[in-house]
Amino acid sequence: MDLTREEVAILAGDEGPGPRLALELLCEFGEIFGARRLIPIASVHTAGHLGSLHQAGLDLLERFVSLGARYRVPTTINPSSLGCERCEPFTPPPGYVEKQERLHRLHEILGVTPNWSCTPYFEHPPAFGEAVAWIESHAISLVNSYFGARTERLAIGIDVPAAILGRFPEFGLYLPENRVPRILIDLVGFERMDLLDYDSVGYLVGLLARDQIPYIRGLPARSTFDQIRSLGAAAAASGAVPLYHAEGLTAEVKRGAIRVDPARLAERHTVTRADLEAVEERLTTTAAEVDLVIVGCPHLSIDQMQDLARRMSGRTCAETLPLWIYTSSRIKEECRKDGTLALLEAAGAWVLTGTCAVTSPVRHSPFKTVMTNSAKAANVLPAEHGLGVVYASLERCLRTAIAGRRA
Amino acid sequence: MRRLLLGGRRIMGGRARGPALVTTQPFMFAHGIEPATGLINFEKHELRGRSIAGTVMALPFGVGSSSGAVWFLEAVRQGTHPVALVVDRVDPLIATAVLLARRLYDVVIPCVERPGATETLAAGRFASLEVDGDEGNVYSVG
Repeated sequence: MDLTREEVAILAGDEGPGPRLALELLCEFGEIFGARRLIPIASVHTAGHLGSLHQAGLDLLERFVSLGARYRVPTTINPSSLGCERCEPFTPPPGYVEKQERLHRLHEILGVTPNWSCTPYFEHPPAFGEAVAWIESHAISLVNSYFGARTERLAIGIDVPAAILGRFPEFGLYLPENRVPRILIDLVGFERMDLLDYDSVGYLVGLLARDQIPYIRGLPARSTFDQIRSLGAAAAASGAVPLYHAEGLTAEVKRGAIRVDPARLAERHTVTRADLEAVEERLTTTAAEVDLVIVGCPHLSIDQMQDLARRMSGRTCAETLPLWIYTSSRIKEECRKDGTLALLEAAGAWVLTGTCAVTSPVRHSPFKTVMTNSAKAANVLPAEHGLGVVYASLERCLRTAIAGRRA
Repeated sequence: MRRLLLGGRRIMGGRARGPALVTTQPFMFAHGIEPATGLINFEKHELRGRSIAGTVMALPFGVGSSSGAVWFLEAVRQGTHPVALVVDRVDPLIATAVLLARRLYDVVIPCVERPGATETLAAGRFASLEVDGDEGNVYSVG
């Protein structure tokens, strides 16, 4: 790889052993992927949940801390395995809490922005064309698709040296020639869509696209940020879709940075309303009674929190069936100020921050069957945590929480 | 007896041999292995119930959560990792895993990339394999 004079100096140890190790790793990584140089990145989104990091993840952070390294660019962090509040349903194995707390401490020493949320774009939204280096599949999808910024799909582990240097090898999706759609997906009959439709369509897009970049036609022109967010989250969960283009909606198409002639895309698929039923059936894994309702994967936006409060107005959750709403501490604070939080708590819902449906140790809890309106959570919970899932619309989730049994 | 089966691109140098563990199905390390034992518990996968420990593992590429590399690394920490890897296509999970294994634990896991390698190795039903990462070669042994 071609290194700048500054990078050569870092390799020689001019900035200490931490940056040198980080640069050695990024150079080795870049050479594997044929990168010709490192490029500056504006931000990093990293991970810090023990459930997936294990002692090995701690060892990596300990090493960089012992070498005196610090994060050089704004670095946010995904949800933890244990939030700061209301962890009582979980009974993790011995040592788990102490290790998770050590993970928090190590990231703090390195200089993380402690958002503990999958929504780094609410902390530092990327600019069009800007390079960043993020983990978290749905956030990556938003970076590339909605914001028109650029990130590869990072593996946890290589994110830490990226944050320490503020650089990343230029390959894959950092290069315009690799951002061109290869397959066409036509949605037929989707002039009006509710939120669950976006999840289900996204889930199908992921299955059809696999790891190819799709060009999607037929989404409503007035689709909101949150709806686009849900679609991308589902597509990134069922497939490996770090970037999709959608006619009239996504950034590079709107700005003319990507010009697509759909007639020239050889692989073509059509999705109709009838296909959605199969998704709903596939994601529901059990006929058993529900013992937990989860909303907020990805973490809810302020608009979604306010919408929930309106829907819950005058209704109360059954005491026997918890309704957990996941969001970031930033959004929760906004909800505290505008009264949304008081309304939701009065209705009996729990508003949880710092952790999430996917990263918390639900395997070590009494819960067996979860209802959720998130295709991403529905995809992950059975595979990673052995839970039964009922996939249902937001309204059906709320009716279930209120009735205290599966609605 | 050592017989050359295929040549490819060096991802990580070094040489190691072990029992063959070959799959043509993409593999998920995150939640797909039990790092304490090396046991594969990836539901619906053809290798479910087998162990990655001490094997020469051939897989098309890694899939699933971005945490796959640290799951692999935890297996390295506990000594239940494959001693060498052969992949059809290298992906960030595999690359991160072998680079960090060497830097963090001084464990060198030779790794070779060759399109179509898993089909070739699956068809041969070899008992034991050797990977020479420096040459980029994969041999059958025994």
